[in-house]
Amino acid sequence: MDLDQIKKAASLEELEKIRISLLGKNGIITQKFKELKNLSAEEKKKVAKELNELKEKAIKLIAEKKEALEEEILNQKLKLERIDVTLFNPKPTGAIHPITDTMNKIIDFFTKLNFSVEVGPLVEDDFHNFEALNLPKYHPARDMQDTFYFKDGSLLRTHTSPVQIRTMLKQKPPIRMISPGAVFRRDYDLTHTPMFHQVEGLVVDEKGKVSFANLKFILESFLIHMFGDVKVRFRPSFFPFTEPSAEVDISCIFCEGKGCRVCSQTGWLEVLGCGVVDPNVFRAVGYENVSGYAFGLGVERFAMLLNRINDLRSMYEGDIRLMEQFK
Amino acid sequence: MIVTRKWLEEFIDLDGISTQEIIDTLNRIGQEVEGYKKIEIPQNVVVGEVIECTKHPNADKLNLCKVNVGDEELQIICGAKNVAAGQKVAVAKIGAVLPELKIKKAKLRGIESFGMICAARELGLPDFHEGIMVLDDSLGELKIGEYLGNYLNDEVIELGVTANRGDCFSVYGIARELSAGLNKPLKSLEFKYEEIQEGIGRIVNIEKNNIKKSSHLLRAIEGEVIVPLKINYRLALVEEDAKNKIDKFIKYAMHATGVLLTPMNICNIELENENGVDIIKCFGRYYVGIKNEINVEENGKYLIDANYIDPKYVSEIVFLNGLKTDEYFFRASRGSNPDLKFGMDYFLNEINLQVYSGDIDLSIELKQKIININIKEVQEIIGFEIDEKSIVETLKKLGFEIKSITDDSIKVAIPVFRHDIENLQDITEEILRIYGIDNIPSKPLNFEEKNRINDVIRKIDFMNELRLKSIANGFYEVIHFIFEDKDRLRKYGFEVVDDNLDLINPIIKELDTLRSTLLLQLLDDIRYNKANDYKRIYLFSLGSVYNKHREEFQSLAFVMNGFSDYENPINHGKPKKVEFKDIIDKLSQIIGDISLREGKHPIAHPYQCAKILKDNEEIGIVAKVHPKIAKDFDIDDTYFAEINLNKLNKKVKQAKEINRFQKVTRDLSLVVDKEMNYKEIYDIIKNLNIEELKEFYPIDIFDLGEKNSLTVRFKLQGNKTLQEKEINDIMEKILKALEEKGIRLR
Repeated sequence: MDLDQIKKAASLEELEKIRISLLGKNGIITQKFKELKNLSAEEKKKVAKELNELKEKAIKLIAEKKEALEEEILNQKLKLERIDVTLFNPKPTGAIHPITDTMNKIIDFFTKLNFSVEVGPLVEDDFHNFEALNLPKYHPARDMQDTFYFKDGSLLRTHTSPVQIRTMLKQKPPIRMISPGAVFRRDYDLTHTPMFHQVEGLVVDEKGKVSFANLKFILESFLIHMFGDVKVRFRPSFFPFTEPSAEVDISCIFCEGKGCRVCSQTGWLEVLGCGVVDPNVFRAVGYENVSGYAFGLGVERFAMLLNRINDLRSMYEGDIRLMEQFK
Repeated sequence: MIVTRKWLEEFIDLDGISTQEIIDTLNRIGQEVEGYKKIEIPQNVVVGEVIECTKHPNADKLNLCKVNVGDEELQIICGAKNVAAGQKVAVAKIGAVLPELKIKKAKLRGIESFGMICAARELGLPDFHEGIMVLDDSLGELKIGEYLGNYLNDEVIELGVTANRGDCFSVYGIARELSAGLNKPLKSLEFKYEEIQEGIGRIVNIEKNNIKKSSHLLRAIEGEVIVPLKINYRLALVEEDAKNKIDKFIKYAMHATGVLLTPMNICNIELENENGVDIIKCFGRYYVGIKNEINVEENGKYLIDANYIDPKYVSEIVFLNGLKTDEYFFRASRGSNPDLKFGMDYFLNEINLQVYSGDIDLSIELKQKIININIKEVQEIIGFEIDEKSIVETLKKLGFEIKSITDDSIKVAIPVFRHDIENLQDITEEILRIYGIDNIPSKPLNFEEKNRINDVIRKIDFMNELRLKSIANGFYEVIHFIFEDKDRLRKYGFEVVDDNLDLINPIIKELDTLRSTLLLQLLDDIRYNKANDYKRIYLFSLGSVYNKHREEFQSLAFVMNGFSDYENPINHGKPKKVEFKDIIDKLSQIIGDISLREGKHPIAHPYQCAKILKDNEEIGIVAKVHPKIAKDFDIDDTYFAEINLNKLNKKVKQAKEINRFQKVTRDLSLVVDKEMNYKEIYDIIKNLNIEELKEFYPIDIFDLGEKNSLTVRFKLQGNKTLQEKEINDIMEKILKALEEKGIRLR
């Protein structure tokens, strides 16, 4: 008998026909079982055994073939469902603005070191923005900050420092805070926009506790966190609200300090201003026997350096050509 | 403040110190170097002497010169009008490479020329004279044939002197800083000038003297003012302008010494005080330390006033009287040099005229401030134990006079030129900057732990969550100035800040008020990006806006324009345009459950505009831009939403127990009026308060001619499996309520 025909079956239908021809009611094997009754007992036993084996083999072969045929059909079907995966070029849109992103990174560093975040109004008064910060009305340093004024004598804050004053008037030391936000100066050219962002920091504790060395530590840690493996340099400088004051540079991240166009060949990039809080500031808020440090930075400057943005103004133009690079 | 190395060397010996070291030192001690330029005369440019100068035979405008350059005599053709025999000049010999020109043998109108007589500009120097540069001995005795760079080479250092350091607005002031920074003494200068017998009192009368606040030292001089090369050259290098010859020497001496100098002609002067302002009257007025309006004629006789006024006083008086000022105020208000004799002598020495003997000295004595320094406090501020010896040394280097020393404190007298030093912290800064911040080890602060998580950081986190959801929904964040154009806000019907609360000094008209909406800026962005060929523009912005009382609110705005998808093979390169539903979907993805009611908005399409409600409170608006306004902005169909963030809060959600019984779905198709809002049907059903009705929502609407067919889907679920009868009862109840309002089943 030919069981090979099972293997040759080309379709499920043909296989079914073969199954019926072998195992159906009138199938060859079924027939042979029926003929057993004509045999002697001894022969019957022998043939029956052979027949059973044959039947089992046929069933097994048919099942195997069926599975193979079904698999093939499925494969055929799947093949028809083929798609060119390389056709899919998703174009995602959406990105956080580099100023926000940079601000968040800065906030993240300081909040993880247990600084609080404080905010204040953008429309400020002379006391909080200038007077209390040791900038009396006639102080020449006021020239440094060309101010927007309102008809009622209010002004747009020229720095985030008034938030320090507001916080000190509201809270008692110890204070460890940063204040991020928009600030305004009447200046609009290649390297100045009338609005920009700052983050200011202030730490106040008992007299004798907070020193310039502490300030150095936090800012070195911060700048290395932001820019990676850079050198940090402190240059003595002047701010009306701190004394001693310093400006902080990092080694140029573009030329690694060798000198290039970005760092004006100096090998250094100025990124921060800082100092020990001037006693006149504490006097203005009625604090006695305290010590503290403060620092401030321009968020745009950090964003430009970190994200290699050349044009300050481009960040305020709502330009997708810039924004899509931060997807 | 610009200084040059050679000028500094008048005051301090810098032999063996590289300019880089000078720059590093200045930076280290707080004099920020903002620029550096090396002035180097090209090779083969030498000092020559014009021996003969005649007209070129074939050209009217050219001169034929014989020039001695030491080892030879050169025939040079020169076009300058001012060239003349006997002059010492800069000669670029053949082979010299000038910034814009290489010198070769040339033939001009048939006559050969073997070099060029140069102007400063042609040598890469500032352009400070007409014609060719005529040399003189003011920069060293000229030797014929000598490389010109030996006289003119210099290095220019630009410093960003801080506003508190008026004492550093002079070459001498910077030299004094370097002296402390490099630990090198200043040179002691000798001044020479010719004094004549006749005394100043013979020609100058003080008519009145009412001045109160300023010091003056007056001297008279006579003769023709001749400005040598050094003065012209250095004034050009340090970018100082002068009105006339006498003014050049004034500017030069002020720049060198920091002493205020005011030139006048010989006159009988009146010194007055008007409203607190000291004034000198002499053919005009000099408001001491504020503004100079004195006219000076170059008539060969001059009266020079070296003067000083307290910087704080002059700043206050200018502020209080709202006075106009000039460069004198810049110096005076920051603190000019009170050493009047030094400034005067330097000037007299340079101008080299005959000086009338004697002076008129109207000085007010300056009091030296005495400050007691507690050493421990200094150490605490710095955070490092600088020892007493180093502190004393540092103070001495800076010219502070040590009055007495005890175990824990030092008494110092502050030099009169240091207006900025007033207290212990000022002195600590001096110690720190000269000792060197680099030499102070950084030290972490020990502080008490405190819960510093407040509402501000919670709000920032919430805003960032909204931002992240926005960008995940395809929106780019944009940031704009908080300024707007008031006329534009008015034109489109937005709220504007009351005029009496508005900006006095806007930077430009287009930014003349505070914005009350983020939307107009976002519409500008759409136009901008469309012009750059973007076809799917989704933007959002988060920032402050102001109402008419100038109260600040946080606003969150979205705009969507163009395609709702990117172009791809599935949409055959023609994605569907953004529709009202798209912005609603995005909004609910970003801010969660919202519902809508018909709304109105100044820039909205009148029939595609909705108030956004969250937890039954109106939080903002969503709409299509009115086509007329879209046209104004030169954009096509655009959808927007603006949300008042002050009304959006993050709430902690309370979970209910999950109902595990089977949910049943039933649909009802209703015949409704075309003008009717679904909201009416919603309210009728909602008011039935059927507990088992978990949710219901419209799923289809179509036109029946006079009316519409609206299909609503109902989801029912009970606290046990609902029986068919119970379901039917509920649906009957709903239908009955609707029919009472004239809404029937289709």
